[in-house]
Amino acid sequence: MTSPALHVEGLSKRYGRIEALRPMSIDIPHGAVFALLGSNGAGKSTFMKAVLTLVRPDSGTVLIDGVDSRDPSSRRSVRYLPEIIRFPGMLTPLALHAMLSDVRGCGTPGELRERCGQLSCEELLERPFSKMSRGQVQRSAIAMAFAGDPGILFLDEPSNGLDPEARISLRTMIRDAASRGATIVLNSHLLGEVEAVCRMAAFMRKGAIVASGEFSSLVKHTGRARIETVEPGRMSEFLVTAGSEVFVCDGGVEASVVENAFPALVSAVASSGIPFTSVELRSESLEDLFMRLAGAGSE
Amino acid sequence: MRTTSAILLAGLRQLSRSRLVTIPVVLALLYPGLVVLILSGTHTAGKGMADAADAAMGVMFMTIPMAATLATGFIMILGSSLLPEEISAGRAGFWVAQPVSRDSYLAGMTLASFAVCCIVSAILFFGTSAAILAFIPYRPTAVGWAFLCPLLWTAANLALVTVVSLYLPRIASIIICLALAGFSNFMGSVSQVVGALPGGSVASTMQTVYWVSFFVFPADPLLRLAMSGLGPADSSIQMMMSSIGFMTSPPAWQIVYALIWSAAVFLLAGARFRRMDLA
Repeated sequence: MTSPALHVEGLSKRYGRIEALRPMSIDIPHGAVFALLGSNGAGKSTFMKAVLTLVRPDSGTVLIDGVDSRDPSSRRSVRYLPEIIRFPGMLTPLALHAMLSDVRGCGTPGELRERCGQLSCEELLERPFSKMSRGQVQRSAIAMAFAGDPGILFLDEPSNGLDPEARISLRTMIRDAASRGATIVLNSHLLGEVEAVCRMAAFMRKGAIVASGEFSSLVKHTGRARIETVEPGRMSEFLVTAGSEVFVCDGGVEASVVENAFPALVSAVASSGIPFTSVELRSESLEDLFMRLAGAGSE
Repeated sequence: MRTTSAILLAGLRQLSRSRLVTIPVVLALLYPGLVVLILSGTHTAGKGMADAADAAMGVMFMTIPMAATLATGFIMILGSSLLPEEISAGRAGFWVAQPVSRDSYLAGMTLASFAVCCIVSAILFFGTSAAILAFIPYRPTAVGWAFLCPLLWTAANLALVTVVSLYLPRIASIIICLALAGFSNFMGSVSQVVGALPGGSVASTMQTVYWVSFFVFPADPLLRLAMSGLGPADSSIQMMMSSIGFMTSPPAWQIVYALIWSAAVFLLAGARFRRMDLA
């Protein structure tokens, strides 16, 4: 059995009286695009920093690809994009990449050039960071993080300061990296972005993981079914007569239904003679899931 | 070792373009230039002195302590800024997230700042001595010590400020380290003066204070040894003062203690850095 890309067991961290991370355990498999979701102060960034030994955990074990994270060699294929960083102003991305390559013992300017090409920022390669806008620095930092063949990427709010075009490129780069077998741990408040690239997540609240796994295993049925029809009025009347509570919505109607009664509802709609294009059981959106598991009113 | 040298090179590249370094280097270069300017104006007067070595000694008395003060200031400012700034800007964490141990990172960055401090100290000490030599030819007492001691003295100062800056805010670190360095230097001079005079309770107290300051921060013997090494071998002023115990080279054990102290303080800085949260 192969070890997970990231194995965390009993990881905890306190800052004085504040419990930043309550003892938590989680495994992230190879090739996963894994989101860390939670409100501000939930402990997402601290989790990343503790995993990478930037903050000293009070307890717990972290294995990166089976190697204890306290061993620097465990971070050989790790790339980290911090939420906030001030690169030395007089350095250029190429110069910094050369330094990082020296430290890692591998890397070429060509690989950074390639990533900058994907982010449409080749012109920044030899520009000092001090002469870049916030978004340009972020593009360069993303290009450096993805350069080469990273095994596991920790991206802390990677979309900060990016324009829509760069965000789309970032999503493509995340998907490409995952398709090459890289594991990506993503911390983002942009749920749309998370939904576009992730299938798995850990929901954090007050320093604890309250739920984790594939989205499909975490979402709940909302208690409604959506029927798309060009005759919502007739369909509503029919469903009310059949005993359902009905809500008219854009492009159709929604009817209250318990999960095991859904097949009967489909049969009833099909036999109604009213034209319809689809009937689907409505599940929670990621936003609903977030609010239920990690939102302010979730306690 | 490879990662330490990579961090060292990265640190040097970073420092070489930092205003924190370029401005002091330019100022350090100006100082020997200033000595040249002054000596070129007073050269005729110097010729009138009985002994060139005494003339050189007199000029060194005036210029080398100032060079040491400037070097101390630079070391304290750079040493108190580098690591705390690296940590607060997120760069220390960024490097430690690479396959780099904290010890390698600290060693690389400290060596980089040590190299820069040595360059500035060398410009100030040797540049000033060279400027004096250009006008007043003399034979330095001990060239080997003259080269080694300013570097050891730089290491002791840097060790102090590195460890203090990992515990305290920048300004507090500078003030405390400058105060300690100044006090140690002052007590070193006072100790020599009172050592040359007949004993008494005040003299005894002064010697006790000196020993306390020496064990807390033993940079003074290194500075004295540097000065005596740089100084002219055949100066009658020096010989006369040595005969009463003043301007003598410190005993070897003091130098060894200063070296051990510097290494221990760097290790203490390492222990502190290893426990720090870099975020």
